[in-house]
Amino acid sequence: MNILTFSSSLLLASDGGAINPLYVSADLALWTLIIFGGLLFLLGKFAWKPIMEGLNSREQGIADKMDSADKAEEQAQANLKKYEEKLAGAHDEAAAVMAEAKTDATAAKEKIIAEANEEATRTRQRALADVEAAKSAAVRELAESSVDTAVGLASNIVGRSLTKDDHAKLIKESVERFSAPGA
Amino acid sequence: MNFDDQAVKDEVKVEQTDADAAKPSHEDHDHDHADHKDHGHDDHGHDDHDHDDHSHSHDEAHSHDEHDAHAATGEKPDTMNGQLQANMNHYLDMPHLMAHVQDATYIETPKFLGLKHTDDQGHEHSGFGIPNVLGVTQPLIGTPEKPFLTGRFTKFMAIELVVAILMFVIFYWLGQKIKSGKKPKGKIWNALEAMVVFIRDEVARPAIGNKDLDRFLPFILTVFFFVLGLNLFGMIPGFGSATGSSAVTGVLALFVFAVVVGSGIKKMGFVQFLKAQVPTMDLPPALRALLVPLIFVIEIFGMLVKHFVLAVRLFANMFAGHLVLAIFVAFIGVCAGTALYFAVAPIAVLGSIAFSALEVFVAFLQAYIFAFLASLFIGSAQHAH
Repeated sequence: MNILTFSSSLLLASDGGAINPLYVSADLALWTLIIFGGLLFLLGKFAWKPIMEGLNSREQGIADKMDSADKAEEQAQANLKKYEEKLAGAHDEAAAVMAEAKTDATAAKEKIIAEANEEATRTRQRALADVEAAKSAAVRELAESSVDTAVGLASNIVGRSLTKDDHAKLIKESVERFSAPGA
Repeated sequence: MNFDDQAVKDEVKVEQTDADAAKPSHEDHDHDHADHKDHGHDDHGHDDHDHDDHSHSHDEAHSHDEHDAHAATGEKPDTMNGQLQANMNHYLDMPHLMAHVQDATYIETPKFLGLKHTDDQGHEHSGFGIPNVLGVTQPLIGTPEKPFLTGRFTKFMAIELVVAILMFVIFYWLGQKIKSGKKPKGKIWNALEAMVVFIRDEVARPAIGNKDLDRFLPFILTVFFFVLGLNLFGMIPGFGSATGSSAVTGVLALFVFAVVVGSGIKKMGFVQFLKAQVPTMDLPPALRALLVPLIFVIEIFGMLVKHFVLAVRLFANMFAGHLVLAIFVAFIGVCAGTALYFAVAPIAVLGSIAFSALEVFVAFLQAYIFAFLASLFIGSAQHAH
């Protein structure tokens, strides 16, 4: 019953003038026209224009910055590649230098050893020669001194000085004597 | 929740104290009545207890029984139902409810603030009056009985003015900020920018296209934020949504219509624009002569209807939403002075809070839909059918 009363009052209200929700107030319509029109004009001029331009230029700026960042990255990548190549080159070069140094060193070592060997051989030969020379000198000296001794002895034994002719005769006899038993 | 609601609650409080004072007699009456009812049932020979319980569980049957009994005995009406009926007549009275959601010459405030306003018809309200700026006593156009243009400054006009000024201040500020080229800082700046960019990129651009975007974007943005501002203003207690008035949404839809037709004619020329309303059809000449005028009339009618519906959709959504809010809170008044009050009042308060949250969502949604459809209509006018 109560609900019925309520809904009937709704129905009755809908055709009443002032409380009819579909009633269009000319005052309000005219006012809305003025307010909205004015707002459209003023905002378009003083708000939307700078906002749209500002947003566009900011977006453009961001896009430009992204482009330049891309470019910078590309550049950096290229540089990196270049340096890596350079580094690899330097590595190879260093290895080559090392290898060369090694062969040089080996060669130098062998040369030094060879020279040293040669020098040593020479020194030994010289020493040997010296020894031989000394030996033969000593032998000659010994021979001479033994002749003198023998002569001295012989003169002592003979008791007289021998003349040169005697000497020669004696030597000849001695040599013959020396060689005779052997013959 | 609205101040309207607050006012209603205030009234409720007053009535509640009255009811409390009169409580003992209420209860006596209830007892008397209960006795009487039992007797009545006995007299009628309702011995079957199951049946008795069943009829009690049906409210309608229950009240009918009582009424019959009252009519028969000529007793005073049942107090609880009588109270409810009296409250209902007051709080669910359509002019009274409508006054909360329609335009007025005053802004309603809670009664305890003690503000009094006497309107042009001599009725007193709690609230403060909107000044009669033009000082009119007679309608500018029309008669006092059938006024056409009254010249009276009203609540909705004041709200529109405030929203327009706020919008100008806010977006002028935003424009200067964005123009400065600095990084966007702060919540307000970012929030506003997010909304502007959303309308541009998600609403206007897909519908209108990149080529014509710059020409129509200011209009779409103005429509969106103006409607949103008016919708949200309705959530401030005591004010009400100006978009809940058909005059406001009607004019906004008229603007859209003007932009659609104006830009279409400017782009294609008047005759070409009318021709573009008819889709190109591959038909034999005889059939074409018959069908083309018919389709032309239908398309023109359809164009008018879609703009009319644009106005009605926004108006009906805002109006109905706020009316439902008012009714929610009015239920508190309806139950004042009865035991139902303690069950209904908390539910009504919680319900109106939840519904207010929904209304905030609807405020954004309807502004979005209005701007979206305006974009679609404008976009379709730029291209042949």
